[in-house]
Amino acid sequence: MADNSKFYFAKSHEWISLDSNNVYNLGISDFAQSELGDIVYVQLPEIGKQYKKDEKIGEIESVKSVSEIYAPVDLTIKFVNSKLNETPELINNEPLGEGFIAQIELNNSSDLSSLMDKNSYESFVKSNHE
Amino acid sequence: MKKFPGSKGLVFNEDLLINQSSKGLSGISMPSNNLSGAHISKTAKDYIDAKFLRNEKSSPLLLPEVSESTAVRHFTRLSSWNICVDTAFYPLGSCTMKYNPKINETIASLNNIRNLHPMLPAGYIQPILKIIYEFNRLLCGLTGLDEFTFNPQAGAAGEFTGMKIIKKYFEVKNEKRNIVLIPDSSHGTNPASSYIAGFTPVEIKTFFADKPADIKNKSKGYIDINELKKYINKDVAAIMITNPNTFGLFEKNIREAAELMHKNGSLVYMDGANFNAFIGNCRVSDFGVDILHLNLHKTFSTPHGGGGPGSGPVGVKDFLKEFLPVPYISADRQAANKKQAANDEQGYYYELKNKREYSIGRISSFYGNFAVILRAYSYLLSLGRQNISKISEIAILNANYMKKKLKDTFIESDPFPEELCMHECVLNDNVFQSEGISTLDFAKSIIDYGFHPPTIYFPKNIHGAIMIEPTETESIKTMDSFIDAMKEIKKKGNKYGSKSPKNTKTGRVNEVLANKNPIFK
Repeated sequence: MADNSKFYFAKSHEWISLDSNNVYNLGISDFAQSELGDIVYVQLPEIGKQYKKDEKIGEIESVKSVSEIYAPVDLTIKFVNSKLNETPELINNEPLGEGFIAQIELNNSSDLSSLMDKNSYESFVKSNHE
Repeated sequence: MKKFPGSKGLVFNEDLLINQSSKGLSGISMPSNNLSGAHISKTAKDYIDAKFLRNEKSSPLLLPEVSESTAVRHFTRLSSWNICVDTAFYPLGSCTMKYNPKINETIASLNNIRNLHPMLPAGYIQPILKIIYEFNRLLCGLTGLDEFTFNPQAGAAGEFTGMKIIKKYFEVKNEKRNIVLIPDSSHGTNPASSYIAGFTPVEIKTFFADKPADIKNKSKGYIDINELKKYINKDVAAIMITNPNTFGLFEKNIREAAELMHKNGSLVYMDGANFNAFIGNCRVSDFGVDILHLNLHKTFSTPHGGGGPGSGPVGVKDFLKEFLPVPYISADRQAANKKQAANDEQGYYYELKNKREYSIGRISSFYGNFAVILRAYSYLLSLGRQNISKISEIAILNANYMKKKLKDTFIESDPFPEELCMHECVLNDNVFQSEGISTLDFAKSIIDYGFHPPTIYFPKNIHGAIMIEPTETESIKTMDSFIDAMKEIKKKGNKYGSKSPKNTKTGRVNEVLANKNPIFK
C-alpha cells in the first residue's frame, strides 16, 4: 500500500496519489498544466472501464493544443471529476487537488513502484525540458 | 525610428445591417414586370399547411432594407477589420498564404464561366471539361503520377480520399492491413484522416528534444530508418509522409523509407500540402510516392482562409487509377467523330464517366470546386513551365533568408541551426521566454506592426513553436521589416507583449472564454 498524501508521477506527466480516505486519485502535474496553458475542455475517462498502462484514458484541450491523458499503471476508473466539465480551469488552478481527473482502483498495486516520487519527477522534468 | 506597415488610423464602427434598416429603402431597382396578377392565382397558402406558415404579424421576416451605399460601406468596413494577403505580409507556416495574382480572378469571373450551370450536359461544356482534363495532365507532369481526381474539396478531404483508396486496394487484394504509419513530423490532419477511413494510425517518433545539445545522436526531425523498421510488419497498409515535413525539412530518407514499405507490400502516401517547396524541381514519383494530395488553395495561389474554398486533388500511380472516385473526365477521339460535336482542335470529345472498376465512389457532388481548379490552371499557364521551378526556388530562398537573418538574435531558438530549411523555418520559444514573452504574446504583438502572425504552437514537439513561411511572393524589404519587428518585440519585453494587440478593432481576446462559451450568432 502506498503512503497517504504521497504523489507518484509518470513520465507522461500524470500523477497518482492515495488520499486520506484510502482512495487513489489521478491527475496531471503542475508542470503539465503550465505547459498546456489555459485549459478549456477535458474529455473524462469512462467510469467502470479498465485501462492498461500507457493506454489513452482521456483528452485535455487547451487554447494551444489537444493532449492525451494516459493511464500511468493498469487501472479501473471508479469516479470522474465531473466538475471539470463546467470548470476545466480547476486543473490550471489546483492540478494536484481540486483539479484531479478521476478516482481509480489499481489493477496491480505493485505497479506504483514504476512511477517517480516528487523529487525524481522534478529532476526528470528539469533534465528533459529545461 | 524604423517604419513598419502597422500604424494607427481611424477604425470604423459598424453595426449589424438590420439595425441600419429603414422601411422601404432599397439598393436595387427592380424592372417592372408585365405580368398581371391573373397569372398567379395561387399563393403559398394553397400549397402549405397553415400551421407551417409564418405569421407576418407575430414574427415578421426581418430582412434589412438599406441603400446601396450603406450595403457597400457595411461590407467594406467589415473587411477593413481583417488582415489579409492583400493588405499584409501573412507568413502563416504550413498554410502558404502567398499573393494570389489578380489575373486568376479575371479569368474566373468571365461571364461565360461564371454563369455556367452545374447540370449542363457534357456537350455544352466541352471547354470546361477540357480545362479540367488538361490541368490534370499538367499536375501529372509536375508530380510524375499518372492521374488525378479533383473530387476532394479540401486538403483533408484529399487525405481521406487517399486513405479510402488504400483501404479498397487491400480489400481487392484480399489482404487485411489495418495500420498506417505516421511520423510525428506529419500534418495534424493525417492521423485523423487515416482513422476516419478505418485505419489505426501509429506514430513514428522523429524528434525527441528541441534543444540542439540534447539531440546529438537523435534523428533531428527526419524519419529514422532504424526506428521505422521496428514498426514494419504485415499489418502495415501504408506510410503517410508529409514532405517537406512540418519542421520545414525535406525528408532526405524518403526514398529509403518508400523502398522498405514497397518491399513489405505497403503503399506510400504523401501529404503534398507543402508542394510549394519543390514544385517544378522534383517529382514525387522519383522518391517512391504511390499516392499524393495537393492543395490547390496553397501551392497554386487560389484565395483561401477560414476554411475554404479549397481543392485537394489526389494523384495516383497507374496501378491505383481504377480506385479513384467518380466521375472522371475522359478524352476520346472516336466519340468526337461519332457525335460530330464541336470538339477542340486536337479532335477530342470530353466526357464525364461514372464507371471505374474498383472506384471508392463519390467524394463530392458534381466534379469538385471548378472555380478553384480554374484559378490554379490560370496560375500555371500565366507562369509558364520555366517559371514554375522558380516558385519553389524562391520560396526556399526566402525562408532561408529569414532563418539566417534571425540567427543573430534568435540562434538559441533555432532547433535546427545546422540545417537548411525548405519553404518555412521553425523556431522554439527559448529566446522570447527569456524575456518573459510567450509565443502567444509575440503573435499578438506582431499584429500591431502590421503583419499577420506566423503559425504558433505547431508542430507540437517544438516548444512554443513559431512557424514562419514567407512564400516566394515576398520581397527582401518586407521580410527585413518583419524581422526588425520580431527583434523589437523581444527588446520591448513582456510588458508590451502581454497587452497586445492595441491598434486593432478588438484587442486581446479572452481565448478561454471564447473556447468555453462560443457565441455563434
